[in-house]
Amino acid sequence: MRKTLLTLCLLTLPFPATAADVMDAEDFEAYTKGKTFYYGSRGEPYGAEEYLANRRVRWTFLDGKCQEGVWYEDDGLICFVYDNQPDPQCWSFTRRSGGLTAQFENDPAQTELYEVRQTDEPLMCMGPDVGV
Amino acid sequence: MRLFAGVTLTACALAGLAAVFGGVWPWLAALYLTGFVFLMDRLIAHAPVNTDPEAEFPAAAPLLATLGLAHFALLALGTWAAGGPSGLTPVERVLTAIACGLVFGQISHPVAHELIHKPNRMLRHLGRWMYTTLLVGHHASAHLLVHHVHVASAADPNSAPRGENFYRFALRVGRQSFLAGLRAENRRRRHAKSPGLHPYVTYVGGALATMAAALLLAGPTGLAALLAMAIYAQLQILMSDYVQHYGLRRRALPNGKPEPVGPQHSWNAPQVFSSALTVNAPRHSDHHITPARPYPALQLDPGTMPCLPRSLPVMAAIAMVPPLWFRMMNPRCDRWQTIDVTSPETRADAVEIG
Repeated sequence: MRKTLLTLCLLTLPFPATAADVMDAEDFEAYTKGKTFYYGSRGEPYGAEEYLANRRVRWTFLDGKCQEGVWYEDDGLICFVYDNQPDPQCWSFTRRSGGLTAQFENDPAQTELYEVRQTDEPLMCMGPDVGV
Repeated sequence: MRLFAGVTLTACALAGLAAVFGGVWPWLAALYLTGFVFLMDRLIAHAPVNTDPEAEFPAAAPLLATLGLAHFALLALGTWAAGGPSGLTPVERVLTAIACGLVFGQISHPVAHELIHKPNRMLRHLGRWMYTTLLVGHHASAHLLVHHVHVASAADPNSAPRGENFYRFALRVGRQSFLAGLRAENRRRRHAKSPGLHPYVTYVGGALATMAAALLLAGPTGLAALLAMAIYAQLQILMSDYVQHYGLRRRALPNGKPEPVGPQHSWNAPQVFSSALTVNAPRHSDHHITPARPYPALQLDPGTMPCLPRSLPVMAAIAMVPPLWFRMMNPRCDRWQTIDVTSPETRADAVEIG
C-alpha cells in the first residue's frame, strides 16, 4: 500500500499545484504539530522533521545529527530558520492524497520532497548538537 | 585565494596610509579603487574560472574576519583624518573620505554580506556590526529574511522592476527595506525559544553609538565626515542591489505563486579584478541558489546566468545615467524574460546575449 502511495506521489510531482492545494500556516500547523515526518526525494530517504509546540522544529538528514529551528509564514511560504543556518529555507507545502509534498523555493533544480511516513514519536538525535 | 587577499588588503592599506599621511596617498588610494580596477579588469581578459564547488577554502573565513576588523580601524581612522584635527588639507580630506567610502562600499559591504551568511555566530555578529557602523544595520536582517526569500518579485523592495531608475529606487528602498526587515524579524522572533535582544535595537542603538563616537573622536566635523562616508557606502550597497537584480522577475506559476528562485534571476559579471576586490560578489546567481557556499567556490555559467555587458563597477557608473542604463539593459531584460534556462537551445541564445 505504501509503495502504491509513493508511486502516486511520484506520478503527481510534475504537475503544478493549484491554488487551493498550497497550505497556509494554519493548515500546516494543524497537519504537522506534535508529529514527526519522514521525507523522501527522488525515491531516496531525505530527512525528517519533528514539529514541536510554538512552531519550533528539529530537522535531521537522518545522520543522527539534529538542528533546532523555528518556522514562520511569509507571503504564503513556510520558512524555516535553523540555529546554525542564517538563511531562511522557504518551501511551499501542498497536501495531496498521499500526504505532503514540499517544493523548495530557493532553487528549482534542487529539491522536491514528499512525505513518506508520519509518526507521533520524537526524533532520535545523538547527543547535543555541536554545530559550528 | 591569494588574489582576493592581495587586492582587498592593498586597498585597505592604501586608504589607511591616505588617512595617516595625506600627500600622494589619498590620490593613490582613490585611483586604485577606481581607474586601476577598471584597467586591470580590461587587462586580465580570460574566461571566468570556476573552482571546484565542493572544495574547502580554509583561508576564506580568516580573510573575511581580518577585513572585518580592518573595517572598524579604517572607519575610525577615516573619520579622524577627514573630519578631525589630522592636519590634512581640504583636498586631502575629501580624497581620503572618498577612498575610505569606496573601501566601505566595495570591500566592507561584500565582506559583511559574506559574514552574515556564515553559520558561525561570531562571524555573523561581526558582519552585522560592520553594517551597523555604516548606519545600515537593518540590511543584515532585510537581506537574509526578505531579499533572499522574495528576490526578483514585488515583495522584495531591493529588486528593481524594469523601468525604475536608480534615483527613484534609492529614495524608495531605504525605508521599505528597513520596515520589511523589521516585520520579518518580528515574525521570526514570535516563535523563537529565547529571542534575546531584538536585532533592531542593536542596529539603531549601534548607529547612534557610532555617531557619538565620531563626535567624541573628531568633533562635529568628524560626525559630518562619518555621515558622508556612511551615506556614500550605503549608496554603493543600494547600487549593487539595483545592478544585480534590475528588471529580472520570477514568472507567475499557474497557482499564482512566483516560480522558485533560479540562476536567471540575478545579473553577474566575470571580470577578475573587480570580482577579487568584492570577494566574488558579481557571481550573484550562484550566491542566491547556494547562499551557504563560500565566496571562492561561487560558480559562473553564462549559459544560465545573465551577465552584465560590462564589469559591475562600470555598470554602477552607467546606472547613474538612467537613459543610458535603460538603453543597455532593457533589451537584455526582455530577452532573459523569454529564455527557459533548462532547455539547451535557449541556453545557446543566452550566451549570445551576455
